[in-house]
Amino acid sequence: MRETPPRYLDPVAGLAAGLGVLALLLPWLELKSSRIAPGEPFHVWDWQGFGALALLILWAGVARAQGPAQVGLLGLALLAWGLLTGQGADALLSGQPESARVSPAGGFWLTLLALYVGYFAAYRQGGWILLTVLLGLALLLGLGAFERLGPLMEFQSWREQFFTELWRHLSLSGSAVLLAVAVGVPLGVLAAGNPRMGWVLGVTGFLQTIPSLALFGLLLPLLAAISQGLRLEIALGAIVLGMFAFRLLWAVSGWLAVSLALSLGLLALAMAGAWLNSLLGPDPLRIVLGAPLQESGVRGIGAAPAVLALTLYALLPLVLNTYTGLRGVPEDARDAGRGMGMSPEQLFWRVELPLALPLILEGIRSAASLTIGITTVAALIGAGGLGFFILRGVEGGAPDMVLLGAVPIILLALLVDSALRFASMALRRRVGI
Amino acid sequence: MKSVFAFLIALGLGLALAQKGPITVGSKIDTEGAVLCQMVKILLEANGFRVNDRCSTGTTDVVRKALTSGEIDLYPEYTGTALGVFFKNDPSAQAVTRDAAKGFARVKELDAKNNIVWLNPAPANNTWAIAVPRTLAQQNNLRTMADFARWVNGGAQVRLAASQEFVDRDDALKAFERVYGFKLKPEQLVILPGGNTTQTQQAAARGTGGVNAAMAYGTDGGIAALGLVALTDPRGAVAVYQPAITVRKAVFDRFPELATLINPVFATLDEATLSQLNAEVAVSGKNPAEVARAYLRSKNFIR
Repeated sequence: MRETPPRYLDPVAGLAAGLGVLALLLPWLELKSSRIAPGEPFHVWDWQGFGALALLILWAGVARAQGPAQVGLLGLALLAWGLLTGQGADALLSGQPESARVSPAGGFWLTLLALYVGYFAAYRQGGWILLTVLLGLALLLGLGAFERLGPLMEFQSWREQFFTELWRHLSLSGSAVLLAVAVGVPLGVLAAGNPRMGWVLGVTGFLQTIPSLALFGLLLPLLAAISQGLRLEIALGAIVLGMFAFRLLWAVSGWLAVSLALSLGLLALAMAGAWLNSLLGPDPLRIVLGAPLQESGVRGIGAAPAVLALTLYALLPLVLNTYTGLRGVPEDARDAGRGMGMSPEQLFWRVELPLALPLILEGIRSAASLTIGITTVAALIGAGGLGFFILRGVEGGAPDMVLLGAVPIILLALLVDSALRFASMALRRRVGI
Repeated sequence: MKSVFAFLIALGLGLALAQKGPITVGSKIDTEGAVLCQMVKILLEANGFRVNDRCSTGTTDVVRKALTSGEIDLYPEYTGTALGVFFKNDPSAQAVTRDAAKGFARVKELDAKNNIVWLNPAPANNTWAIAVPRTLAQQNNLRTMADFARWVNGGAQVRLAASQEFVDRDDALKAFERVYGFKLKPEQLVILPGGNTTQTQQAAARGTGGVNAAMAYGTDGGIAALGLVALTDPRGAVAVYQPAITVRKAVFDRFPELATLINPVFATLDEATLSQLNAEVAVSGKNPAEVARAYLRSKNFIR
C-alpha cells in the first residue's frame, strides 16, 4: 500500500494567514475631519462585508495551499488588500468636506505585514514570485487604489518638493557612503596591518555614539567660523601642506601627526562632502577661488555638516568589516602567496583584498542602508531630504505627512539593501568565492 | 561651439548683474515660520533679488545661531522670544515683555549690539493662550481666562498639556495664575517635550491621559479644526509675541530697500490673517509657498 505523504503545514504561511485574519479584526482605515484631527476607526466590513469574508477565505487558503496555488492566492489577497482600501477611502470620503482625510490604520498595515510574511514563505519557489508582487503593486497603483489615502493627498500638495527632497536624500546619503568608503576602507586596512593603529576602531566606534543633534550643535559654530574666516585656496593649500607635514611629523611624534591629520581631514571631508553632494544633488554650487569657503557652499548649516556627520556615522561598519575581513584571511593563504614569490604589495592586492572583499562589501551594504535611514536627521540642519516631511509632520501633528517621509525612506533602504546584496553576490561569483 | 559658450557666459554674467543678492532666507520649522519665510522669499524674488531658500532651517537655537554666524541673512522671529530667551539675563528686557510697543523698541535697541536689525513687526500677537474643547467651554461657560480661574478654583478636574517653557517662564502660566488668581497643582500639568502646540492641542482634543486643556498660540491655525476654543486674556497677563523679520546688519546696509519691501506686507498681517494662512497650511495641508503666493497676489504685492 502506498502511503500518502503527511500533509505538510508550512509554519511561515500559517503565521502569514494568522496575521491576515487578525488584521481583519482591527480597524482598517481612519476617517479624520482634517489632517490633524483625531480619527474615527472603520473596519473592512463597515463598507464591504463581502470583502472581509473574501479575505478570510483567501488567508485560509494561503495557509493550506502549496506551490503556484499559494502564490495565486497571495496575489489575490494582495489585490484585495489594495482594492478594498481604495473602495473604503472612496466610501468614507463621499459627502465629506474637502479637508477630510482617510488614513491607513492597524488592519491595513498588519495585512501588509501578513503579505510580506506570506511572500517570504512562497519565495523559495523561485525568483519569479517577486515579479508577481511587482505586477500586483503596479496594477493597484494603475487602478489608483491608494490615490485618496492621506499620505498620497499630502504627496499631491507637496509633489514638486517631494521629488527634490527625494533627490536630496539620495545625494546626501550617496555622498556620505562614497566618502565613508574612500576613508573607511583605507583606515580599516591600516588598522589591520599596523598594531599601532588599533585606536582607529575605538574612535570610529565612539563617533557612532554621539547623538546627531549634539554633533550638529558642535559642527555649526565650528564650520561657520571656518567657512567665514578661511579662504578657499588657503584651505586647499593647508590640506596639501598638511599631507607633507604629516609625513615629517609621523617620524617625530605620532600623536601630533594624528591630531594634525584629524583636524585637516575633517576640513577636507566637509569640503568634499559639500561638493560631492552638490555634484550629485539638486542644489548646484559654484566653487569660488579667492573668497571665503562659505561662498563655495561649505557652511555651518546645510549639506556640509550633514554629509560630514553622516560620513562619520557610516565609518564604523566599513572600518570594522575591512579590519575583520583582512584579519580573517587564513595564514595558509598568505604563506602560499609568499611561497609563490609575491611581494607584500602583490600579496595584499591578489590574496588578502580579494579574500576580504565579501566582508568589505557587507560593510558597504550595512553602511548604505544605515545611512539612508539616518539621513533623516539632515532636515534638522536645513539640508533637506525626506526627513523634512517627517519633521514637519511631527511638528504639525499630521501623521500622513510623517508617512510621506517615512515610507519612501523604508522603501529606499530595502531597495538599496537588496541591490547591493545582489551586486555583492554577483561579484563574489566573479571572484570565485 | 566656442561662440555658444561665450554667449552662455555673457548671458549668465548679464543675469547675475541684473539680479541683486543673493539673500539667504531662513525660518523656524513651524507652520507660521514656513509661511512668513516663503512670503519674504517670493516678495524679494518678485523685486529682482536672487534668493537662497533655507526656509525651515531648524529650531530657535539653530536658526538664531545661523543668523548671528552669517549662515542666513534674515528670518522671522518673535519679540517675546527675543526678550525672553536671547536677553533673558537682561532685567530691562524682562520689564517690557508685556508691552508691544516698548518691547519692540527695547529688542530693536538690544539686538542692534549684535548687529541684527529688526524690521517692523506684524500687528499680531502670537502669544500663549489656553485652549479647551468647545463642548467643555460651553458646559462650563468658559470664554476668558477669568472664567478658567473660576472653573479651576471651583475644583474642576483640569489637566493642562503644555511645554516646559510655558510652565517655567515668569510671564507665561505663572503670569496667568498670578493675574487671574488660580493655581494648577503639579499633577494637573502634563509636560510635553518640545513644546509644540499642535501636540498639546491634539492631546486636549483627544482627551489623551485625561488632558482637557492645552497650551496654544494666538495665531495657531488648528485650534478651530480640532474642536477647541482659545480663552481670551482681557487683562494682558502674558508676554507679547509679535512676528518681525530680523536681518543681519551687513545685509541690511547693503539692501536698505528690504525695509520698504517687507514692512508694508507685514503691516497687513494681523492675527485673523495669520491664523487663516496658518490654517490653510496646518489644516488643509496646502504648501506654504502656494499659500504665501496667493496671499501676496490677493493684496497686490506681487503680480
